Formats: sequence, structure tokens, C-alpha cells
Amino acid sequence: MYSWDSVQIVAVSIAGTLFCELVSWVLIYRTGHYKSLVNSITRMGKKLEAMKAENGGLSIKSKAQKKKEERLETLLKEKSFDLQKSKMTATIFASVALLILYTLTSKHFSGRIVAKLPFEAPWIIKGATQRGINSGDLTDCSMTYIYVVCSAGLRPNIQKLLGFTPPRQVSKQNPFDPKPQEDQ
Amino acid sequence: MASSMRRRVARSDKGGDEVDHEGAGIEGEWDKDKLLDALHWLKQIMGVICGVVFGFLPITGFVGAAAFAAINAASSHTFYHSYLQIDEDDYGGHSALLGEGFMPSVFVFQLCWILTYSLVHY
Repeated sequence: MYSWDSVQIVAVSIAGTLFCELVSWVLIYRTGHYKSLVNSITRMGKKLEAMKAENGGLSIKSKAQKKKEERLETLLKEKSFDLQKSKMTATIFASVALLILYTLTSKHFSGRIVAKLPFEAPWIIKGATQRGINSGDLTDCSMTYIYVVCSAGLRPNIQKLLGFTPPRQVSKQNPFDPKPQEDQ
Repeated sequence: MASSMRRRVARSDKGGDEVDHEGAGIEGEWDKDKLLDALHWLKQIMGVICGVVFGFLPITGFVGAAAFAAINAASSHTFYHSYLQIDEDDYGGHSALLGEGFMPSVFVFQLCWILTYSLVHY
């Protein structure tokens, strides 16, 4: 019975994620600079949404209203960029730590079938499900796929539970968008 | 209780202190962020439930994935449209509400489905 291997992999993934979040909290999330950035982005985002909702009912926006909105959007983009920059250390550390963890776990479970898939792996995930195992059966699953699924499914939820996700307004902003043309 | 929850997100013409344009509701209980968070967690819970049930029965193949997607979308839609009776346009439209938390829930579902199927049947 190999299924308990997959439970071990899930436990390792959760432990790795919690460790990365702890380090990120120590380095980034608890600092005053990060907290003030988050607060100002949330405040500005809500102000912008309220402005757009108010002006949405108007058939013609005045120049002043348009300029105000654009100024607020530009400010929001700059703050979002600053937030991403401040998280850079944590992001790099997490990536390196999780890569090391994956390498060590992969060595430990090398060549082992850790789970049985309830479906035949399509071509898009076959590389991950069959990695390191010599099996012609497409329902056999290696540790790589379980690890990937854990990272993609559990990590965002753990971050959300701990309250470490950035404000929603950040995800809407692309700091590389060109600045809006100002009216003459 | 259901009707009081609906009042919290419903537009009201009665008084300026009841709702605002962002759907803050009475006492700001169901503003946009809280609604999106609720939908996120609803999808994750549906992912866990569907994964465990499908793995146990078992339901295998593409049918399982398609059934999960349908159940996930239907549960979210029922929650905000039929139960809360909100105007979707005030909260970013159907795509924003149905999309919130969908991708993590797909992976949570897969994880539960694979683990339950492997543990119960092998």
C-alpha cells in the first residue's frame, strides 16, 4: 500500500509552506513599511471604486473627474509596484526553499508510485505524473504531481488563512501599463 | 435569518445609512471583499467535499472533473444569486464572482480526489 506516501508528501508540502510564510512574516509582513503600503493600497482602491461607481451613472465625465481618477489610478499602480518590490526578498527565499525541499523529497521518493490517479493522465500533465517512474500505466502517479498539486492548491489557501495575501486592488494593477494620456 | 442576510446586500431606497454603492450593506457586513472571501472559501469546501465523495464512490475519468466544475459553479451562483440576491454588476459581474478562488479549488479537489481514491481503493 503506497498511498500513505502521498500523505507524507502533502505533510512535507504544508510544512514547507508554513516555514516559508514564517520567514516572510519575520522579514517582510510584520514591518511597518509593508503594513502601511497595504493600508494605503486598500484605502486608495476603495476610493477609486467609489469614484468610478459615482461617475459611472454620469453620461459625460468632467475633465476634473477624469483627471482625479487617472491620478488615483497612477498612484495605486505606483504603490502596487512598491509592494511587489518589498516582497521580492520573501519571494526569492520562498522559491529557493521550496526548490530545495522538492529536490530532497524527490530523491527520497525517487522511482516510487505514490498514488493512483482516478483518471488517465492527459498529455499536459503526463510529464509530471510519470516523472521518475517507469510505468506504462497512465493512472500511476509520481511524487512530482502530488507536490505540484499541493503547492498550487494548499499554498494560496494557507496564505489566505494567515492573512498574508496582498490586497485585491494590487492584482488588478499592472505597473507596466502605459500612463493614460492627459487631456490638453 | 436568510431574509436579514439578503437585506444586508440588497440595494435599499429607504435610507442613506443602509447601503452604499459598493454594496456595503447594513453595518458593512457583506461588502465586496467579504463576499469574495466567502465565495473563495465556499469553493474550497466544495472542492474538499467533491474530492472525498468522488474518490470514495468512486467517480473516475473526465466525468468527475466536469461534475466538479459544474457543482462548483452552481453552488457559487446559487449562493450569490438565489440566496443573497445581489446585483452581480455591483460586484464585478459573474466572471469575478465565479472566478474568485476557482483555480485553487480545482487543485484542492484534485488532491482530495486522488488521495481518497488511492487510500480507499488501493
